[in-house]
Amino acid sequence: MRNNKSFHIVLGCMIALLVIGSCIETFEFETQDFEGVLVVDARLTDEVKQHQILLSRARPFEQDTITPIRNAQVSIVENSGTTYFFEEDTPGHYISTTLFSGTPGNVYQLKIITSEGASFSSTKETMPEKVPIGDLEIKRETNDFGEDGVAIVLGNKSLGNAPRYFRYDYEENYEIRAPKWDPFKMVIIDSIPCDGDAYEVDIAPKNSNKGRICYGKRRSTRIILTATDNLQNNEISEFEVQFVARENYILSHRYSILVHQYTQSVDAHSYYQGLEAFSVSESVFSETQPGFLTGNIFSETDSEQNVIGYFETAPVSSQRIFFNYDDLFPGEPLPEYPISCEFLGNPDLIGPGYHCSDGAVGFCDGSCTSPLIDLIQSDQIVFAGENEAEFSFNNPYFVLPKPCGDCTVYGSDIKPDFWID
Amino acid sequence: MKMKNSLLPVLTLLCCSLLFAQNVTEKVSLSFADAKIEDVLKSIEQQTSYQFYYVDSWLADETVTLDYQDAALPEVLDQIFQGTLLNYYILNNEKIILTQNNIIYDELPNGFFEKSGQETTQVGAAEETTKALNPVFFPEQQSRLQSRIETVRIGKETLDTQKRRYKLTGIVTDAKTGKPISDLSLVVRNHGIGTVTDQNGFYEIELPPGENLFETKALGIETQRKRVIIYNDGTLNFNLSENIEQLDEVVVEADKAKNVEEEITGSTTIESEQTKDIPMVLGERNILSVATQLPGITNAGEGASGLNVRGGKTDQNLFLLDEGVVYNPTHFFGIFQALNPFATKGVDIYKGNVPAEFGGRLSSVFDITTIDGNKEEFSGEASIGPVTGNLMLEIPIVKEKSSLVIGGRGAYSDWILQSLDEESLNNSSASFYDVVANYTHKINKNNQIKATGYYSDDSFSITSDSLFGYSNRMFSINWNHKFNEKNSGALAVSNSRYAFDIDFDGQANNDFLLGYSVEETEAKLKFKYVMNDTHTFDYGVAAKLYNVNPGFIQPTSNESIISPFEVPEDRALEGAIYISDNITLGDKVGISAGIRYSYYTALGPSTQRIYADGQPRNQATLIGSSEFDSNETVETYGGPEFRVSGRYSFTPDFSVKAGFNSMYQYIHTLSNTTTVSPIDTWKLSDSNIRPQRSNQFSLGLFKNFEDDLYELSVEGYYKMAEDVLDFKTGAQLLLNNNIEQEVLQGEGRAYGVEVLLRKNSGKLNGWLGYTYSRSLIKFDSEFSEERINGGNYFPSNFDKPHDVSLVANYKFTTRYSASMNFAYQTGRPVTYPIGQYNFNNSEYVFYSNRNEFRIPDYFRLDIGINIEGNHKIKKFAHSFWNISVYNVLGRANPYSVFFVSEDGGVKAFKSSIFAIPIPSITYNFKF
Repeated sequence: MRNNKSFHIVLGCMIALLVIGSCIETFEFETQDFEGVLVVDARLTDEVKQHQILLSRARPFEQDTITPIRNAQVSIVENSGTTYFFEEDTPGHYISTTLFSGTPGNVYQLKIITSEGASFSSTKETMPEKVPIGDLEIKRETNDFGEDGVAIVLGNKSLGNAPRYFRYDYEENYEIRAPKWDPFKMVIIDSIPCDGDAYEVDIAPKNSNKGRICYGKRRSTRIILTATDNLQNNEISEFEVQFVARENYILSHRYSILVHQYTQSVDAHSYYQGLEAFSVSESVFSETQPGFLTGNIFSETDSEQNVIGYFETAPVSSQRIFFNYDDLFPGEPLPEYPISCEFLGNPDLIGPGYHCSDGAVGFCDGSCTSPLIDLIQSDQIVFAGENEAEFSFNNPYFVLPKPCGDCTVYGSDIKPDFWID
Repeated sequence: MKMKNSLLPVLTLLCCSLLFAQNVTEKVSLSFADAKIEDVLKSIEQQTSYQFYYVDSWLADETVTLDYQDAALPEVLDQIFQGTLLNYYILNNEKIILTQNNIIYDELPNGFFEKSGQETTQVGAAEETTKALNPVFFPEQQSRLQSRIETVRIGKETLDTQKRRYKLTGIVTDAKTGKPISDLSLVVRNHGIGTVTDQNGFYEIELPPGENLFETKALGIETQRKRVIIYNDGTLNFNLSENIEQLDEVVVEADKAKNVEEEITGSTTIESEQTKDIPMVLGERNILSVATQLPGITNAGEGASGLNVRGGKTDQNLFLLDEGVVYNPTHFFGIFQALNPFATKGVDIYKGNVPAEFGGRLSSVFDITTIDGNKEEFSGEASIGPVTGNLMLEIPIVKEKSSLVIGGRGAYSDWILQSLDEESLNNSSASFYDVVANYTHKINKNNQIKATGYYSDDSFSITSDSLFGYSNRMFSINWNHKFNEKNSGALAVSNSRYAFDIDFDGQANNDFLLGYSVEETEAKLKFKYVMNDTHTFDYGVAAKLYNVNPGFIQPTSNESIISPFEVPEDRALEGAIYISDNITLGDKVGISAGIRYSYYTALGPSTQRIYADGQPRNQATLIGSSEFDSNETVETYGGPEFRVSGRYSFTPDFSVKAGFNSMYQYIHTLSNTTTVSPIDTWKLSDSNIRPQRSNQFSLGLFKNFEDDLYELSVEGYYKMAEDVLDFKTGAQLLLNNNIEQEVLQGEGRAYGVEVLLRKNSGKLNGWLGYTYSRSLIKFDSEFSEERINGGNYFPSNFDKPHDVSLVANYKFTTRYSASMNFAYQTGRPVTYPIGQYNFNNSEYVFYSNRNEFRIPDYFRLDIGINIEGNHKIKKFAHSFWNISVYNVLGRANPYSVFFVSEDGGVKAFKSSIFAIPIPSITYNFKF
């Protein structure tokens, strides 16, 4: 509900502005005294696979790229005595040397020794009992902010008496159709100015459906948590994992969501809750006291040293659901494509001020540009039709922005293996 | 007695007179019932040869009942004049001279001639008797000013019971309304002594015999001067009228000399009426906000409910309304006070030395009192402002005996929100109201009862699916009883409840109602014993029962899947016994020494969790629990609290004071926000959460200039606190059964210097304050999860070293005045994100050590214009307009900064509550 949360802020701002003149605005901030704290992103599930652990250093805001921690020794020790070793696959990305799975009820400890010799270990984590994910359902509804759309909800029944703590993430896949796909494309025949003959662009058939239908993909970025404490029958029902507004183009044709349910320990749950509390602000008036969020990984060499991150041991259970736009919104207009494909352009073949030197061939002494050729070369436009008007030799084709005729801008044109039409 | 020869004839004459006076032989027979003295005297004149000499008005209508047969005349006269202010003197067996107040001496007092350098010889015994016989003389020559002052003679001079000091008591009432005037200063100019009226307008002062130049001083009340010539204990009532001219003044302290003379340090009084000119947000009068303009009292910012007093947390202030506790005396996130400004008389704030009578909070006591209703005639006050409407009525029930005050105030901002043509706001609301009523009944001279009831309610919703509400409910009854001149006592019984709830009604099937409440019932018995000039004792006992419902959640619709859950109730008993002695040693030294012993018992039924020793407290180290039955003692705490302070006056207007104050606090707020939020809960100490304790040392210099026109004070303090509460980062506090797993208890340290210059009267009045203060806290432990900032001291959320405030009022005419308000504060500490990291497919921020940075400095200027309606006597109501602009400079003072990870990046936001100038106009009228 990230969108919802930021809407809270905007709404709060509006109320306050109208009533008492308050406001929230963004500001630039600078910080110094940066310390490159170890960040451990580690998760062990009950899937049989090569589990992966990411090690990096926290970085200043100015830095966009992740600073990986290289050449560390990473292992997970099981209470059975087995140690699973990890090796660096790509920088900072460690995968287990063998295929293995965590077992609910077993106790695991993560151990890391960096190349500088600093050693870290997690507390001993017991993998909670697995709770299978319930059925996903789709519901058309209007959310709290008046947006019409579809809610993806799930329920879990028969969970026993102990409170259960869940974290969810999901991957959305959706079909994209380029609204103005054309079987023809533009081909540059002559793009050299002042070579004795004029610029030339022709059209040619594409001979494939490439760019007509694509498959987009999004992964959840927010923290989705729920728990059964305070719930009747220790059950979850109709828990909203995701809400997509009807106006979002990803719903236009066929949509699929794969939801993973992680059964967490109460400590892991509260860590994620803290993480969530720091990344959103719910109220204009009260601010959660931020600070360093202590996880379950500690330095063995220097007790003063902070470690960011959490070693989560959680069995996972997944569900996928597909639906078409027509299933929920029959007969209703499709959402708008991300960009407008209404207005055709017809760029000049020869730009204004074109002039070649009278003496030397190939020497341009004016503005020797071709807007049409420049746009084709920079892959910004697609063919949308021929200009059949009289005296249109300098504007031979109608064109559209690339996404209108080529959906690979928004997704891959390779159909995923799991996709069911 | 041996005197110089030249004086002998005089002495002889007087001695003869005495002889004559004592040798009256004529007898009289009289029988009168309720007869006028005048008639009795005429009858004596007829029976004897004596003639009476007197002024008719002295006798007035005084009556006497007597029955004598052949009685000696002096015996008869003694009875006649007993109970009057008259003395008689029999001269030469034929004249009887009546005198008012004074005695005609037939003997000169000892020392009478000393000033003229005459040699005298005395014997020891004589010295003792004559010392008690200093007659009251006052010089005939008077300054012109003095001669215009009314002279009042008090008491009848007696020969046998002369004392060094006489007690003058009386009641000061408002000439118009007949209501007692409290906190009025009575200063005796020529002796440098003074007193203050109590809440019933009653005063008591010990005066040296003879001439005393009295002056009354109170804000909004005329200054009256009287020359009081005191002969014996007596009564003098003042009937003062309101001084309209002075109503405009922005003066906080009514007690003129209190600043210098009071023994305790760090106390202030704010009268609600006097704050009316200070420009406030949306024209709402707010004494708590005015308090923050004084040194040592701050808050975290606009929109932060709760005050921080001398570096203390917001839960360390005790707000009392007529002796009953009010947990949250603010509306709408602290922007408005939840006290009816018309029904509130004022607040006494103790931030340094707290009288032994009070306890239970570490930092301060805000002793708020409501007005006593007008017992003479129906009157009231009303106001209409942009946010609230307010009406207060004073209704006499039994004339001169009892009166009822009813006040109600409500916000119509809800209506404003609803009327806005903005769909998204239609479901939003913010409204509040408060009602207060009190009943005062003066049973007789020695007994008075005051009952007060109070309720305030807030509800607001910022999102359409949840409605937040909180309320305070308080009831108290106070019975004041005077046993005799030396002993008085009071019984106060109060009940108070604070509650909040969140009503969630969303689209999904998880509608719920979540609630919290704390309730306390207290009985307090206090006594005052004025032993003598030197010692005044205050002592008493108090007991308080707490019932806390730490939280419940329940489904609010049939479809709701929420299951009802309740954290079990907490109960506790807090008791205290105290005694303090106010010791006056001459004019120079005053000491207030008090001790309070407080005792706390957490009561069952309860389940107390037990954690492994030497381990951090968390779910993993929870090793068991123990059960306690109803009313079984779960845990006890307690200890002595010392309240000691002293004053030394170098001169009557310059003193130095020092104090030591220690306190215990057994109830704490749980808040994991940087500022106070209305849904913070109060938690009682139990076996896992210890009480907070503090010790404060203070030292101050107090000087008044130019006849008390200016007051200057410099006060310093150093305060140490133990077991102050904080929470593990990211703690979940609501509905948490194992709250102690989230709690950290550490040390606090606060120190500062407060400078205040105040001008109390004149065309320009107001004050300028500067405070340098620090507030630091430390949470250390051997376990890193229970440490904050590596176990070192770090600034608390309200550590604002520099604080300047200026409040000024300028009076153009009696009707027009302008006021301004300026505030500057160092920005409060804040925890910034200093970097970012990737975790679980998303980008997060990584925070600095706690409170390592500061938000930008705060400053604000407000201006206001006040217009009094004209004062035609026949006009129905007296009106008052207040036009003000809050935050004239339009500075967007950041209230908080926060950071949101959005779309894979981090954005910084700052919020300010009042980012633009806020104009407002308020109309008040009195009738």
